[in-house]
Amino acid sequence: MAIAQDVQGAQVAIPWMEKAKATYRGLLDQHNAIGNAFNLKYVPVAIIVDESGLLVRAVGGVNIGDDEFRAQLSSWVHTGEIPAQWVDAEQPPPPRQLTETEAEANARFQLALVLLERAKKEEALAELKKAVVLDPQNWLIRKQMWALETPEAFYAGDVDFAWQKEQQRIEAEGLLKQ
Amino acid sequence: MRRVSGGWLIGIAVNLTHIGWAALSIAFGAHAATAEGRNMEVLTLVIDGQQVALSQSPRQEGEDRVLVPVRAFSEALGAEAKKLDANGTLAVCKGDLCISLPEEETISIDGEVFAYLSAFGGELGLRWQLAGSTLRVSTGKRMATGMAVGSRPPVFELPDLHTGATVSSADFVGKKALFYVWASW
Repeated sequence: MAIAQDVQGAQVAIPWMEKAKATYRGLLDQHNAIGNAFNLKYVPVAIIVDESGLLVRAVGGVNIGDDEFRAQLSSWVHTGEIPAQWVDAEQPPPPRQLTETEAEANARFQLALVLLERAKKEEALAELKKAVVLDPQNWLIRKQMWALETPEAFYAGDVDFAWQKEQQRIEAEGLLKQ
Repeated sequence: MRRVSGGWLIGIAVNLTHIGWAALSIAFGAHAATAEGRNMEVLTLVIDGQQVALSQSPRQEGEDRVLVPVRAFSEALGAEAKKLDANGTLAVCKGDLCISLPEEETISIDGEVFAYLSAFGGELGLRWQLAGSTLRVSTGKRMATGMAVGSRPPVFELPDLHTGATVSSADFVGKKALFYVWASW
């Protein structure tokens, strides 16, 4: 099951599922439900749940198409033993209370999602920008802001990582001036 | 206070990883005979989703009674085990709260004082659950965000990317599941 964190909806996610020739089911999380529930600040994250519905691991930074990850997954499915790589892998932050600034950033993010649905893109972008200033480490907010503002860096062929790096540098300088 | 001996089991209960211990539980049955001839199972302790190794592991007596080593368990929760009076009445104290432990609620295992978790856990605001040979304790402090290993993620319902049909994570209980969270950007 692959869950797309895309505020812009299925139409931006489906081409990537097709490109990956996905044999698994795709779901859409347009309203950051998973991000909120798991306190995620970036993707990809593999959320692995056992038969009794308990969280085995949430492994960050893995690629579902990666052969090594698939081998680990297959091994866990067949033996039930948690691969050492998952234990050592980067984890989402441990459960904790949101700070006040994180809570405000989340609230502005949610407001931006509502504004987007009402086709108020500029107002949504303004909220996303405030949210990024409040929670600069939240990549779910920052990159969705980028993808909305500069779609050509994301949806014209491959994702332009050089553009992202440059954008990050510009924003870091902007933050320093504030 | 009753006294029982745990023998060799206690030695191997210390410092084992969750996986290692689970494997040993299967291999050896993990039962220590008590003086009364009843079985006690050694439990792996998980507090707020984090596995905690105490100098003595909690025990399960019978179907659902849980015994914890009073001093080490209290410390792991940021509480303290104290003697309340000259009679040596034990209590678990946290902040202004002290819950005394009646003698019949305690038991000595290899020189360590254990108490039934039900004798004080609820009053300390703890919730706990036995899952196989694991004792999961929640202090209720960490409920705001994020997911701890071993915790139960909230049920979510999301639309299928292609058809829009609602899919619930509850549909996957009983199966191993991977929810791979990604994005187009």
